[in-house]
Amino acid sequence: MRPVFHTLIALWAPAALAAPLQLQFVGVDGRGVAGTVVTLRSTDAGRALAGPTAAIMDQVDLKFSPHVLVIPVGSQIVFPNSDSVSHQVYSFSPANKFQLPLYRGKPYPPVLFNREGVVTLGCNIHDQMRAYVYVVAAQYYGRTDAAGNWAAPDIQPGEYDVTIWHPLSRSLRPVLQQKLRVESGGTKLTLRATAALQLRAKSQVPSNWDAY
Amino acid sequence: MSRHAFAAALLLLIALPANAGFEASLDLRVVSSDGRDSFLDGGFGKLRFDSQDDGVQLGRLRLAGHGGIGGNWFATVDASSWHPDDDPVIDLTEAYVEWRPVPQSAWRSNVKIGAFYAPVSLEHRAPGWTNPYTISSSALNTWIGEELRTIGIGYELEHLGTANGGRFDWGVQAAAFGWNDPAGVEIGLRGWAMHDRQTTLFGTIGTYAFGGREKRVIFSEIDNRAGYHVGGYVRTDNGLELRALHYDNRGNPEAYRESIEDYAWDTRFDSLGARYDGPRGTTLIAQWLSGKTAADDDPTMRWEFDTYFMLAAQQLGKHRFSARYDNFGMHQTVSPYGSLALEYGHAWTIGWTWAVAEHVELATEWLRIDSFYNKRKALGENPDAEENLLQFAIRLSL
Repeated sequence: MRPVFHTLIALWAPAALAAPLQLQFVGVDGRGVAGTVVTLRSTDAGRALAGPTAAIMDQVDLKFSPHVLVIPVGSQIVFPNSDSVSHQVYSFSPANKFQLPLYRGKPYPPVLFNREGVVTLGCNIHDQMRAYVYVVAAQYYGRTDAAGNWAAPDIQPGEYDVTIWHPLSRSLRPVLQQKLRVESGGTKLTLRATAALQLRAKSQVPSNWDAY
Repeated sequence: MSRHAFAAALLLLIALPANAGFEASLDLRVVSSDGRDSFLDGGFGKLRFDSQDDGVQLGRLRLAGHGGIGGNWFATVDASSWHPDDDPVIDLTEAYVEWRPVPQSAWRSNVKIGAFYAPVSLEHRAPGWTNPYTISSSALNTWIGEELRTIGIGYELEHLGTANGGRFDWGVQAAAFGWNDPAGVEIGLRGWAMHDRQTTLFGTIGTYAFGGREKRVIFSEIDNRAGYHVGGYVRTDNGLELRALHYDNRGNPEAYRESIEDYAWDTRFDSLGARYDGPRGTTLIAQWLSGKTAADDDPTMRWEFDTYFMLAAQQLGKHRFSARYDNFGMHQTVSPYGSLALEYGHAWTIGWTWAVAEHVELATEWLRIDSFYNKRKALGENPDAEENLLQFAIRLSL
């Protein structure tokens, strides 16, 4: 049903209606914040959300790779273990509790993430391993680059709720939420944090240390 | 506990898990030392390698395995050889099974049964209870490696607050143990030392004891009374960790075991430590320990001891530079018959490690210990000693 629906939309809405959005997220000091998760949800409740995808969260050298995944609600993630040692992946985040008993290789089917929110991943054997999955209900989503920029070349003009998250924030709640209008000629804007972000430092400690 | 039965059980554990991870490493040294006659030979020198040991030495040969053995149970076996003449030549430093269920909420429990380290050292964070900063450990944690092992059962309750956006994780631990009654004999009779050798579960450690050069057994049950330790930690999301431990082996000093010619030393101590891992690869560690011990019903056999150290380390790419200052002291508390044992000293250690390749690390350190110990006169030595050690290590791992 869904592919047909999308095809119809594509036929009906010519590409000329799409507009570019260039967004930069900066801290209170005015400097761009890298690695920020950006989601845009149309205020038009009738618009379809981004459809589910399939994603991979690998485990390499006692680290999750990537450190952050952003996926639409209903997506599935497969968790291969590329290390020679076993891992035991879990999350007790309310948005998605699951566990994969001790394993190497790729023995398990993908895990379904069907609730919006932040899912913190851990390994019960290696406490230093930490990663985040942002499950979003939105039309557009992505992460800012090193300068804090995120661009979407073909956004449908209109009003959106924009939500800014950060995986190193000391809260699972959004860093910023506000309305945003994408004009038909395209929009370029800077969003500024309302308070100092106080991001956590990413640990420099080797992942096989501190296994007391 | 039969040595052979225990060894067989552990071999079985190694063989069992299909998903086990194995570690093997070899640490070879080139040593240059002007140290006094080492405690390992029954002297009052504070170093593992004394002036007789210059040249190539075995640092450590280590074989270890860790794996799931069914359900939420895991087994860990860690064996090392520290010298070709040691008996047994290769032996266990730790061997335990652990129940470690996957957390369903921020609360997590684990239970350890077997022989393992109490969670006290803030230096020994690499696998195999290894100090990744300097080859020789602080006086404080050298002593932990020499005389302490929890042979029993330990329980830990943790709250993993940072997984849900909280600012810190914390945990509390409690353990009951046996087979640690001689703990205290080294600190009481020899005083402090600084090195990287860990006493193995069935091995011995040298000291000058009861008027002779001896090899002492450390892990033995003498008074049939369980000891305990309780502790806890707090770890913030910006790299600060605080740790505390209270240890009491509840030794009955009047209990004596003929076969190892030793008392149940009544040893207790408190330790506090802090560690900070900064965002640019800087690590700062400070740790303090203070305790006392007693053996026999003889009122002269009472000692107090305390120590602290401060360490600063900087990671620069594949290189890690570390510097540590140690301070230590020990004295007999009562001695109506004169000859009060008194020791005090301090030390500086400079360390450099270089991860040359994935399986090759080079390490070097310079260590200088200045100490006064009046009992050195028993061996006809000057009670003041300045000992220097320069050592290079090449570490190969699987």
